[in-house]
Amino acid sequence: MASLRELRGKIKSTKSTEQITRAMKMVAAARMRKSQTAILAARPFAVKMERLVRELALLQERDAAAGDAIGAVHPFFERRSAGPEMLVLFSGDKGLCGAFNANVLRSSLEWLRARRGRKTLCAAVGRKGRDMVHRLRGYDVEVVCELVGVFPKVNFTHAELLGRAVIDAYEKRGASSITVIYNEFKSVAQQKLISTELLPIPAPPSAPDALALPDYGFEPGRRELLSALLPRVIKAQIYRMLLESQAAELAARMNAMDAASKNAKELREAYVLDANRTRQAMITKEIAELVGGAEALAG
Amino acid sequence: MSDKRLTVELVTPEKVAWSAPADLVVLPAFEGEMGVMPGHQSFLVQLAAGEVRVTDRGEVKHFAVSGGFAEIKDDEVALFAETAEAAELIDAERAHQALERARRSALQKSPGALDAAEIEAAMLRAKTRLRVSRRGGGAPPRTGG
Repeated sequence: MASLRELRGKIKSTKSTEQITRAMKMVAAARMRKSQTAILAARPFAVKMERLVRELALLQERDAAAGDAIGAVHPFFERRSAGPEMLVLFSGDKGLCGAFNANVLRSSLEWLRARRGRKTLCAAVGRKGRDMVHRLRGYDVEVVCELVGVFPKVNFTHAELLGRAVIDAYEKRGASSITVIYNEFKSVAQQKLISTELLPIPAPPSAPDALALPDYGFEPGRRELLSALLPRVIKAQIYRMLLESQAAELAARMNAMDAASKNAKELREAYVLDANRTRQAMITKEIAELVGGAEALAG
Repeated sequence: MSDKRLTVELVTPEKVAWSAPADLVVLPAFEGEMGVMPGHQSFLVQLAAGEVRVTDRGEVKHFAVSGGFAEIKDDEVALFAETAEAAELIDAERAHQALERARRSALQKSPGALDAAEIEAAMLRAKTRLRVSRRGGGAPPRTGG
């Protein structure tokens, strides 16, 4: 059994760890509440935009099928066979948030491994993701954009920056597709890893139904309007992903720190019990010795 | 016709700025102002920086938007703006300062072409906000506090 002094040292250090993890949990909780409201406020915009784009995509398909001249496909809808694929991964800047970063990095690595030997482009959000991409050896990956230190204060300018890099890669570098991997904020206790295609804009699942589609008027012309609208749609989506990832990270950290605090508490209690037992054993031993000594003297 | 009304929703990437029924909406469309009443054809419009006027039972509300899009469909008007502010909420003082700042940087020599465009956009935004805040009889410039 450990000595009393050792046990007291352990109690002290466990206690200070517990205090740290508890403080981190509180900070994460407060920040998470804030970014949760930010997402809830931002979702209507993204959802409405997505619905609009779905309709435009349907319209695009219908006109392409009809061989209409104005239906000439906008590059964002075009399915390309050649060109490097691109990955955008949303990780965090800091650790101590459970499996949050590990999940993103693992799934990104899988994506990259499947394309080993081919040239790929990559954009990394968060320090963890950037470091992972820089550590890669034997992959033909070109990093076109890094966004580090943006959490927990994401705003639309960050989405602008990343969005511009992504669109540049697609338009100027001829990227054939852009995949995003991020954590979605499902609830406080749950984050969901999402891997989806940002560009080209995915074809709507339902068959184009000409009757249900409104005949839109466009001002300015359809092509100009699309070229102004679609980049903004992409940026709005990226903005939502940044917010989702931010809230998910904070939620993950909160849970991880909560678990850590609980563990520390349990451990500390076990040590305290041990220490008390040791102390009591020593006292009992001393009394026994005293009694033994007195009896010997009296005898 | 009086029973048919528009549903107007003004959304920005950060929040739903405003949402209410209306009788008439005037948008700062790309090629000039555009009025929308119930029964309008489905339309997709690019918005310039400017003023949105919403008339609801004779009452007019003014908003300043800084570019974006509007979708008109089935008597629903969805405005996707980068920023949107109600006239009453515009801080005229700040808009004024922004305008001054933009003017000053425009006067400095040899700004790059990109900067020039940005400065112009900033000026346009500030001017729009000032105009809208005056139109809406917005709050007077705040002093202190």
